Amino acid sequence: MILKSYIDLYRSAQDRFNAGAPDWLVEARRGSLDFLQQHGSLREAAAYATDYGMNPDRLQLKEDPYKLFSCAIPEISAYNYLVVNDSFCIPGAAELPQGVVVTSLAKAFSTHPEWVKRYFGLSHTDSADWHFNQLFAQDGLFIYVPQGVVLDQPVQLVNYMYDKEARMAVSHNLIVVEDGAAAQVLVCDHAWGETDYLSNRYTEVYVGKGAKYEHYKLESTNEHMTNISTLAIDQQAGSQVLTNSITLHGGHTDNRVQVRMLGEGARLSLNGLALGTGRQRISNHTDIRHQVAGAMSSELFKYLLDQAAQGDFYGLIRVDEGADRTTALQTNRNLCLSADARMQARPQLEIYADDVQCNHGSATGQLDENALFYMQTRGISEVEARHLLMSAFAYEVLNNIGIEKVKDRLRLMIDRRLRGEKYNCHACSMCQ
Amino acid sequence: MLLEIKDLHAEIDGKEILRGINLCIGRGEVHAIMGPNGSGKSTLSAVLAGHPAYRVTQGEVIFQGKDLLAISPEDRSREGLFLSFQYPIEIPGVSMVNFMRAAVNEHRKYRQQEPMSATEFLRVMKQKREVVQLDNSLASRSVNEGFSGGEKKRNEIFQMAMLEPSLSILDETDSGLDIDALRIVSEGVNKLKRPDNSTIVITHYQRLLDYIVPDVVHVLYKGRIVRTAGRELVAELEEKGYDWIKQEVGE
Repeated sequence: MILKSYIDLYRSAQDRFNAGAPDWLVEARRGSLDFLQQHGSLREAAAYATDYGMNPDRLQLKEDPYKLFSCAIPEISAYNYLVVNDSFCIPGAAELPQGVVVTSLAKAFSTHPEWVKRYFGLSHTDSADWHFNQLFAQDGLFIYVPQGVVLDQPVQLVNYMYDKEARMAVSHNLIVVEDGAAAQVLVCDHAWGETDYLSNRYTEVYVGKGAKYEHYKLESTNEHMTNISTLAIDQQAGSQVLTNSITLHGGHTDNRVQVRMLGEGARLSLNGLALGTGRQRISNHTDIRHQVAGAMSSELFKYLLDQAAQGDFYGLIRVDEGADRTTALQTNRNLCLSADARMQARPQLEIYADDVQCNHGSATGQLDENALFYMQTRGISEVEARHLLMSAFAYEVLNNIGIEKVKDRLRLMIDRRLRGEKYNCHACSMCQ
Repeated sequence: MLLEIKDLHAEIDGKEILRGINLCIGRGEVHAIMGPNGSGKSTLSAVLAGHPAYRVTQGEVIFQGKDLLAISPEDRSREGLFLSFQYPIEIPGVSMVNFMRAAVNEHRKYRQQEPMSATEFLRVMKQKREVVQLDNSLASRSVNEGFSGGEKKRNEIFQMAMLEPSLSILDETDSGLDIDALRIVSEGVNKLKRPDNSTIVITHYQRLLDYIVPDVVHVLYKGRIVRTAGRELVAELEEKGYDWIKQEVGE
């Protein structure tokens, strides 16, 4: 009855949760309430048992969050935004290209009501997590890139968990990249201190005809964090999307990516890397729907699991009837470095069309003993040889990152992480 | 004496392969070890390099005054032992430059020297790859991945050139090589010859020994050295095969 207590909380405080929400959303939340009462099966349901605090009254930090948690990727300029727990922190004015809007979703409900209404919930599929998010998310990041506009710098969003007591953050990001436009978004998840945290974040992305969109998600939190996220992308004809989810440190990570290929010639590259240690649990579920003919997707997910870490990869590719000339490739490679590490891999193809080119491959194993010995015979210590093999394994995923400085920085971070060095910057390990 | 092997016995999965090897190699000498398939030639090289799958059950190996069998494979390398693999291992994703830099710097650290600077390293690498005519794409390629048979063997000799060992063991370096590659590899080995370093050439055939001329030739058979002679033994083996040796040892 864990979920029931949240439903009760919503009921008792619905005026406060709905303050500032447009009427259509309040109405939709009624449906979500019904759904949750009937089909209340959340991902990571056990994690909700902790008595987390929420923030229906939108209390803001007293400090200037941008002074507390500055995070800059060295030598790269990005538009920086911060969500502390569940609240978007309005930054100082940035000079965005003509017509581009980057703001708080809560604010966009009133400043850009038509756009929000048009795209909000477009990509959703009925699930308890979607409805839970819809019920409780009051804020997040809103990006609108008008037709033909290229966002000249990446948008960086830092999701920062910050509280002295157990805290839940539910947020919703809505990103619209109109026809022929282009944008890159880097999302960094971090957590302060040793508080128990749970986040449930939903990101919807609309990618218009011929538009280009890149989405990078980097998690560097700690063992007290349960991080549940969904990235739902709709791709129109001729659009190109690249995503890469990298988990360096965390507690329980549950990433879900759902992509619908809705237009001919759409191309998708979907990637992920998970480095697990301790009792970390990392799950990546991907769900690619080829709904039209002539689209292409390729997928690469890799896991490196040490100690008692657990990894889970579930990759569904569904090719609908009529989606001929689909190309879909899926690769999953995993290394278990200790006897206690566990990996579960479930690649799944559902093909209802003829004339498609689909394949998937999944392999789980250990470091190559022959390669280790070969390196040792050249004078390389076993520790260093293992390190070289592990980093080579991990770096392959970094090839699918379109921001060079981020790629370079991640190489360094992965190198340190694989050497067992702890990051020590609370706000963001990108700054080290 | 550079290397002394005394009554060496070794097994793998409980099966004894080496059954009492005795061998002495002095500084500056080239020894050939020949013998039919399955006689234990590659086992001997693997045991000397410290392969974990083999268990030494008896005997000792003294390398430059040290108990070789007591030290790790990486320290054997740092002490100056080099094994050119019969089947070099492919390591996807690890570039030759990173691999070699790690190796060279671990050798330097062992000798309490500072790591080589990046520019100095690249200069040395360029100079050494020319010994075996490898081009400048070598640095960025993954170790042995996608290399032809000949390139793999040239790469072994390149690594030998980088590490400047006092004892090199060339395990079937001629296998899988066409005549041009064989010439490049042998010339490479000969260019690296110094009065104080030694080579063990393990081979089935005469042809490699036409290029790398041995001072001493041993025949290994059923885990023992059954005959040791000068280079004239090579021609005799080429002419008569191994059967007469088998007969001599009572088969």
